[in-house]
Amino acid sequence: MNEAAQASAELTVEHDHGLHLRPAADFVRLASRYRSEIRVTNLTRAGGREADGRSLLQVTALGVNSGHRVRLTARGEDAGEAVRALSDLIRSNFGAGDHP
Amino acid sequence: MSSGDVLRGTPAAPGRARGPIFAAVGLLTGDVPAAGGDIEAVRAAARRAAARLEDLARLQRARSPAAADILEAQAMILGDPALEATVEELLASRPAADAVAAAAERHAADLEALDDAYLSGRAADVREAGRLLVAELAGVPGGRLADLRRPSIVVAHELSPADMLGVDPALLLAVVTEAGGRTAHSAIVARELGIPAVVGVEGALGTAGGAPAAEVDGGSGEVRLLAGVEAAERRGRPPRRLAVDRAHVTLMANVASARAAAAAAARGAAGVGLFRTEFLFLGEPSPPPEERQAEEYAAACRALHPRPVTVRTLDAGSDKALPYLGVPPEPNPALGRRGIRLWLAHRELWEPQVRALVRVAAQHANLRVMLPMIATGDELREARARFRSEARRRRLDVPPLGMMVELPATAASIPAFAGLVDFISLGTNDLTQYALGADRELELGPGLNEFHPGVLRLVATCLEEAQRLRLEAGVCGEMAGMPEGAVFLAGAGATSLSMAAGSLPAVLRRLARLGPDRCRAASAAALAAPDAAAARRALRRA
Repeated sequence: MNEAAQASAELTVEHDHGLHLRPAADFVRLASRYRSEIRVTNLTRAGGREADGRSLLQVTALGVNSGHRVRLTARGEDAGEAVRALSDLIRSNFGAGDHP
Repeated sequence: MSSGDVLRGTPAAPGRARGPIFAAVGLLTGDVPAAGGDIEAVRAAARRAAARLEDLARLQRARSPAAADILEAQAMILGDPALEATVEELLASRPAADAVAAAAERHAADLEALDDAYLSGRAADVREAGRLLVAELAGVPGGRLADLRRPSIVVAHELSPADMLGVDPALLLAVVTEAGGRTAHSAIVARELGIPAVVGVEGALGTAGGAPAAEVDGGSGEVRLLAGVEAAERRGRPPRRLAVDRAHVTLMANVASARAAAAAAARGAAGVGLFRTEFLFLGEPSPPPEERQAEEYAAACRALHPRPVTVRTLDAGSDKALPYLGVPPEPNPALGRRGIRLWLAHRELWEPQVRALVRVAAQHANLRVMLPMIATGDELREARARFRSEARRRRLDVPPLGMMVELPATAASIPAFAGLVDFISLGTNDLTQYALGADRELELGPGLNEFHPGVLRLVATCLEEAQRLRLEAGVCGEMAGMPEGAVFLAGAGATSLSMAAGSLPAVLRRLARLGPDRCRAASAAALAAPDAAAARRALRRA
């Protein structure tokens, strides 16, 4: 196995629903495609908890609302790729269309 | 409590309904029947429960997108690593069902502690996922409406989206629950399905559950108990019967059950232009036997007699999966093994359906059969051969056979099929999505719809060719149920329009007002329009 790489990014979630409902499900589905361990932190809420990026329950429980900043951290062989793809998903506002 | 009593709750979905009461009981959230097993057993049960939710979500997405999202989220929760870790931890000290219920409750409470409206909704999903998993482990049914057989006011402690989507919509007259508020998932789904609902009715099961019938007003939150179904019917004004012959084309209804067909017949529909048979095949461990299918088709034919009932053979694919076929997922379900392709390839699908249809046609001359997703003459010849051989075996006749025109290539080559079918019916939903390469549910941009100039031309050409060939040509896509769509189609030569029964009054009003000449002029104006918006304006101005 390759030496574990690490990558991270900080960005603002702008979707009207934050990381709830469909955006959260999209995020978790995408995170589950990578082998790296992926952690998400809500930087806006005090005492920001950390979530497993593959757990819809934990990601939802971060309470990320529209305008909140999050940190993504990935550790593993495809860490860079994972953080890039997940950041793109958040930046593209979860594929432009809003499905409430 | 006695008849005439009124229960009050939170109005959750508008509309009034009256009918017999069905008290839905079943495994409640937090119930823990005895069921053991290790973490592997829990994982396997979770996968089965999740697969069922995903199937239901795929099948019902078009009807209720919000509910489909909820079901998908519940399916994801069933496979959630955090939930699984908690279950594994609790398994050390208690039996499986107990561990699952406790783990779900722990995660639900976690979400609720964040005090956010969205998260309370998710907490309900976690509890529902836990309940379904407990049911699966214990081998008891998770659904609460499996015994619902006639159109009823459903009274329950709680109902889930899966309960409401898993039954024939014609059976759900109204929903009354003890639990929940306006944002409860059952309320959201009821609003989306147009089913009147009152939630948060304290003691509903104890009081209403014992009454024979009720009248529900989802707008005011009142549930009035009635002495009997007869009383319920006396009080109810039957919907006014529509004078559909005031339109110059035949106006028919799209239905998914014999129940809905009877309702459409009472409403005055001039026939059923599309009887979807997918519902019969849903949620069953195997394809429905000939007998069960024959009963359903015959009941619809009796209700509509002598008006035509057009039964479409099963239209499934990898996006509307039937678990018992074991069809592998496809990268592009819309372009894969679906409709007639899937049906012809599986004897367990076509054989009982062909048998049931031939048998019912022998007793009901108003039955017609329609084949979906036809691309080639060979598919039609093959399907007809199977009907013919069954008919010959029983010394009966082959029912009239029609084809759905949903593929642009088929729409552009009607003469190639003329000798092979008795009628055609345009499925404008698929025709539009295939012609524009745009999934209709994604809202990919303005103008990517039925009124795109290319789609209108395709439809018009197809209808013209049919007219020239003296082939009866109906339309059963959503376009037929939109007043401006109906104007275009009637003007372009459609002989019948079939739509959701609820769309009939508006379409009838518009067509009766315009008459054939003005419809023709409006069609011509729409065909000359440069884009979808302009075409719709032209049709609206007519």
